[in-house]
Amino acid sequence: MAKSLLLLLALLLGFGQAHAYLTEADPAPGAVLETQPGLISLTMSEGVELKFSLFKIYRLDPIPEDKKELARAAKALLAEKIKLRNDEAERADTGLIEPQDRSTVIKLGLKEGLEPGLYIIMWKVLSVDSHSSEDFSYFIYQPAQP
Amino acid sequence: MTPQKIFVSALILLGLSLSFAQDDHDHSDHAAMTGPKANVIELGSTMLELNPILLPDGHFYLGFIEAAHNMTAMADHDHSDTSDDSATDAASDGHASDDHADHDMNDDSDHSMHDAMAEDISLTITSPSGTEVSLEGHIMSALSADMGMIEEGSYQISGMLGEAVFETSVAVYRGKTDLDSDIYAIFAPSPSLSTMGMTEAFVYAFAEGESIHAMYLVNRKMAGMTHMTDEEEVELEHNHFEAFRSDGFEPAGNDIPLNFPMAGDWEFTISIMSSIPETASFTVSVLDN
Repeated sequence: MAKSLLLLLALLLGFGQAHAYLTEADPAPGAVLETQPGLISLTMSEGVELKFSLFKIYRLDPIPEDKKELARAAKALLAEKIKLRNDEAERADTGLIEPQDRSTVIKLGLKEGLEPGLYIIMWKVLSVDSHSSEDFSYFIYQPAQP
Repeated sequence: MTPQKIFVSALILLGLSLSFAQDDHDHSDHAAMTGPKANVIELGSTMLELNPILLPDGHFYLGFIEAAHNMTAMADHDHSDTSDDSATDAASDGHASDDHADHDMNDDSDHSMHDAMAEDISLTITSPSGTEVSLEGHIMSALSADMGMIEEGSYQISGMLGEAVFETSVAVYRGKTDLDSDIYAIFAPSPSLSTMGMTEAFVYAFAEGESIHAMYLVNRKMAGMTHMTDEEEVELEHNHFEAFRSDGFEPAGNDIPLNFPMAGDWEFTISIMSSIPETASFTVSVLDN
């Protein structure tokens, strides 16, 4: 049986926080592209500390059948890969372009000659108000048939 | 005052400042709202703020913060309470625990300050399934009631602070998003016409045992009725409840004052924004008394 108690919760006060959320992406989430994009641009709702943030792009294979499965697979991939070290060879990105200390706009380079398929753009960021958040976007590279 | 107390007091003051600053935000849906938040119970010169806290494992607490008194004073921990379950530990944050240890060793003058400022409070909370939880003691800054596992429905709260009697309620709705995340909408107080339809809407969402940190949007409308709230999307304020973080939990809620300016059933939709947004809908009943 649940017991009740008087308890000091000196810090029970809620702290309103603004995490860094994705507000815009190029390509847009879910975009199907016939040509490989030159770079990936992410715009966050507030600045992120780039030295304490991670951005990676991985190919997800096979392509999930629906969005529910896609969300599950992308989150699992993010959890597995985001903190990996020395994984450059596995990734589809070439890292940040023009990295700064803080920015709301993040640009990632892409390797040339990507295989067709679904690509997950994942991040774990520390926003300037010192709170972390993680999420992903995605695009499908599907070259036109000759 | 020990460095620990100074640290905790500073955080409390910061929290109060942030809390009051949030009240000044001019959200379009509640631009007419001024003064205390909807989840504040005014008792003469004293104000109690009601905060429902939900952990990812479903453990539910009703927290009461006394907002009108000197928050830098440390609260008395009720040693007469014999509760020793794990939930007690989960609710005691590291700072509170540190202070507790310090408090055990502190001098009488500190106690005197507490006793002079403490107000007697008694509470009885009845869960939707009829379980009663009673509390008696003093409130200095905050106290919480351990309600066990959360239940869907209405929690009825009656209490007395000093000589003032109050009654309120909290309504809990729960469901799953279209991506199978667990989501809870908790309204404090339960929206009714007696509160002019005003409530503080708290939303908690969990995926695989973790809080979902994202932007949340809600909208509300009433079937068959046209209202100014139709098509209005309101962004919730993301909150961390710091008291629990040092125990490995990070309860993260999202809340915003909302109005439901008509009795009846409202369609309440929550969207968790991401590249693949999740949504869940509830029918929120607004009582006419």
